[in-house]
Amino acid sequence: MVQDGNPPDDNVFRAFCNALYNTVDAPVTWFRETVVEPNQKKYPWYHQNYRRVPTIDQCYDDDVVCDFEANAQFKRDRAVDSEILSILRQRYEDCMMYEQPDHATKCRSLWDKYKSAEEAWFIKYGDLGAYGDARKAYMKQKHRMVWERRNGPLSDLTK
Amino acid sequence: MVSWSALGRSFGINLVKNSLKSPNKIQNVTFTTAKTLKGSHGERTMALQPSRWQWHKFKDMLHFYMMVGLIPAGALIFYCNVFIGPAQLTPIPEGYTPKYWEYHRHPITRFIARYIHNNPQQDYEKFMHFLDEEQQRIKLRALEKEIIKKMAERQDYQAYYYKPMVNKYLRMNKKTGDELYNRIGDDYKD
Repeated sequence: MVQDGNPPDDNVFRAFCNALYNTVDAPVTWFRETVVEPNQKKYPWYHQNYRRVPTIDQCYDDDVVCDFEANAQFKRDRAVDSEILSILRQRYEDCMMYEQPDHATKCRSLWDKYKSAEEAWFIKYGDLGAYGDARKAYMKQKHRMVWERRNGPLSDLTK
Repeated sequence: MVSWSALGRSFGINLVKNSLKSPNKIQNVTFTTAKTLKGSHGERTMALQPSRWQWHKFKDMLHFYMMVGLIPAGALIFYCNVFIGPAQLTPIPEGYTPKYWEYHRHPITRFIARYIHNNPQQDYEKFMHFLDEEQQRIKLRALEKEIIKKMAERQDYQAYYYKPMVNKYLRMNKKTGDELYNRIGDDYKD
């Protein structure tokens, strides 16, 4: 809600809604702040940093180990790119929720960024099927480039 | 309407005759088929209804065995969440490689990753070694097939006609053949 510092909030309806919410929230918050938080230990966890390994285009075609590692890296990269796309989409959706009904104009830049990111994601990872791996993505790129050489560019992102 | 079977008919008729919605007292205990509430200080009623003992026993056992599992598990989960708590996400310090269980947040997940599961990097590298070994076998077999195909094609290598043999079995067969010849002779029809 709006951050009101000094003037007390004398809106009866808001006070009533807050009271209803607090019938459940206040005991839970009290329990967490007095019992749970003081007793919890503080210790770290980390996000794993994976080393970069040769990609599929740098592997010999009969090198199974290189293929396996390139594929694992491809799957990790796809997961990371999917998350990035998700974050961009969330940003646009939050803006849209806040700015309804003029979201079309107010959130335009976020929408454009999301759309170009989505197009880039689809160019790289889209339409590979359920068993899509690094090799299929590489072949997709090759076919796209051949098609573009014959028929001209597909989009702004591939010029 | 209730349909009476032949066997229960007399019983059913007796029930109707005794009109059990009005209480029927025998030795100061009221028998009734009406639904009774289990109040303590009403009239002492005995409900003439089919036994619900199996249902009650089932519920008892269900609750008991569920609690045998839920209470220790609940206590463990409560302890882990309140007295140990989940970890804080921190950037990796310089020059330190975290252990493989330190990549998980919840203490129970960390416990499982540390004491039950294998190191994922170890599994990854073992699998890659296995893949490499199988790949070498594939290459060897493909090479052998190729060589035999070429020998068959060009007919220029003696080894194509060479059948490997083990003399031990030849000796055994010869001994058997000699014994048969000594017994039977060479009188046989072709």
